[in-house]
Amino acid sequence: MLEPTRCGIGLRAPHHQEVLERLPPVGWFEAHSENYFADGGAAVDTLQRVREHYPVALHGVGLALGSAAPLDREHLAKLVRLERHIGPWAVSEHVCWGYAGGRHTNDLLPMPRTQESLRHLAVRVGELQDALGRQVLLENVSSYLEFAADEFGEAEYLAALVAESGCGLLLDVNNVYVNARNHGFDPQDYFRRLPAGAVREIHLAGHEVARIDGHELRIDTHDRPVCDAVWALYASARARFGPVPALVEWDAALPPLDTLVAEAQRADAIA
Amino acid sequence: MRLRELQEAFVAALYDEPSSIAQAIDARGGPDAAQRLSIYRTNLQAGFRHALALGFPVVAALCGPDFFRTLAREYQQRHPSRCGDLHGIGAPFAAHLRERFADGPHAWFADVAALEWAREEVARAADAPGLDVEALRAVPAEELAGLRLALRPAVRLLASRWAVFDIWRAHQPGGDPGSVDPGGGPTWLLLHRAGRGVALESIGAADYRFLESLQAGGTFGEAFDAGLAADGGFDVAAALRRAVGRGLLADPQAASGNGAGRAIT
Repeated sequence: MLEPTRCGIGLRAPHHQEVLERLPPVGWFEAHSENYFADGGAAVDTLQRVREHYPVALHGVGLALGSAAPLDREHLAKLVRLERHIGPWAVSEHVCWGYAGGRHTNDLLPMPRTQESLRHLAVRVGELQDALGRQVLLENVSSYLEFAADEFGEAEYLAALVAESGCGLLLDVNNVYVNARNHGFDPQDYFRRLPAGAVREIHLAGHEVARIDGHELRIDTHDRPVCDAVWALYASARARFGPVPALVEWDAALPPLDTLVAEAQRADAIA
Repeated sequence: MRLRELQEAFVAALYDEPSSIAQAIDARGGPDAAQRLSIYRTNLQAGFRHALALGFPVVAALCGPDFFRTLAREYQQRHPSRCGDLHGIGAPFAAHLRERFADGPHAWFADVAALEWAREEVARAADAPGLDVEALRAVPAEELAGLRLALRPAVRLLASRWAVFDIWRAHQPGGDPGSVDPGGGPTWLLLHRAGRGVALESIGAADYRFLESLQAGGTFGEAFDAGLAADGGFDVAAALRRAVGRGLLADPQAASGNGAGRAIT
C-alpha cells in the first residue's frame, strides 16, 4: 500500500473511541502490535476500522529479536495473523533483546554490539521477514549503558544489520539524541554512517533529563512534547534521508488527542 | 561473555539475583554500572506493575498504591512475565492471591481478581458466530436431550462465596466502594460480550449450573439435570430462552467435534 505523506501518531487505547468518532487530521496511525493480539473484541475491531480510514503501521515491542533464547513462535504467529488482517504499510521491530532464562523483561534492552550478536540478530530478522513475506524496519533504541565488549559503534551496527539482513531502518531521532548525550557521540556523524536509502520511517518523542550522582542521563520516557534539540535533529534527518513517513510517539501521561495532532502538524511544518 | 550468558546475567541482576553483569558494562564517564542497571530494574518493575493495574483496576484500588506496589513486586518474583505480550501476566494472579491471602481478612481479593481476569478474557475472546434460533426450533423434541449446545468463546461464568459483583460495581464511576459488605455473597456471575463492551450479570444458581454444564461440553439433558440439582423448580425452557436472548450459544458449525452428542446440522 501507499506510504503516508503526512506525520502520524500512535494509536492508544484511551483515544480509540475519539479517533473513530473524529477521524483527526493526521497522516497515519501506528499500532503497537501486541496490543492487538487478541483473538477478537473491541481493540482489534477498532484497529480494523482505523485502517479503513488511514494507513496503519504495526510496531512490535515484544518480539525481542536479539534475545539468544529461541524465538517465541506463538508470538510470531500472532504477528503474522495481525499483519494479514490489517494490511499495514510497514511492520517494525527494535534492535534489542528482552528475553533470557525464561523471563521476559518487556523492555527494549540494548544489544552488546559484537559480531556474534550481529550475526544472531540478522538471522532473526531474516526469519521474521520470511514469516511475513516482506521487509521489516528495525528501530534504534535508547540506552542507558553500553557493553565493554562492543565492537561496533551504534550506527555501524545498524548499517551492518541492514547489509546482512536486508531490513530497512526506522530511525528514532529522539533515541539518537538521547544516546548521543548519554554515550557521547555526534548525531550528525551517526546519520552520515547510516545507508541513506535504508531509512524508511522516522520516530519523534519526548524524553526526560535525569541527574544521577551529578551525572546527566537522558531517559526515553515518551511522556512529553518533542524537545527543540530533537526537532532540529529531525530537520537534519529529513535533509539526509528525504521525506520518509514520520510519527510522534507518546505513551505515558497521555495527553488529549489534540495535543498529539498538534505535534504531528508541527512535524509536517518542518517537511 | 557470550550473548546468551550476558543476557541471562543481565536479567538475573534485574531480579536482584547474584550476577556477573557489572563487569560486562562499560560505565566510563558517568553513573556506575549499578546505577545504570537500576534504571532498567525500575522500568521492569514499573512496567509490570502498570500492566497489572491496567488489568486489575479494582484489586489495585482495594490495595491502594503502596500495598499494590508490594503485591506486584512479590507476584512478579513468583510469576515473571514469560512472553512479549504483557496481557498474559494476569492469568495466575487470582490463584496467587488465593494462596497469598488464604483465609485471612483479604481472602475475597482473589475472587475480585478472578472477576477482572474473566472480564479481560471476554473482552479478548474470538468473535465466533452465534446460534441461529431457527436451527434449534427445527430439532425434534425427542432429540433435544442429546444435543450439545456449546457456549460462544466470549462467555465466562464466575461463582464466588463473596459479594464480588457488588464490590466490582462499587468501584465503577458513580459507585461507593465504602458501601459494600464483601461477605454479602454468594455471587453467580455471567460475563459476556455485549456490543463493543463486556456485560456482567448476576444470575441464579440454577441458570449458572445449566450454563456451566453446557460450557463444559455437557448435553442439553445433562445441563438440564445440573440446573434441576441446584433448584427443583428450574425452568429449562426459560433458561434456554435467556441464553439465546443474550447470544451465549455458539453456532454448532464452529463447535463441531465436541463428543458423541448430536450436533445440529
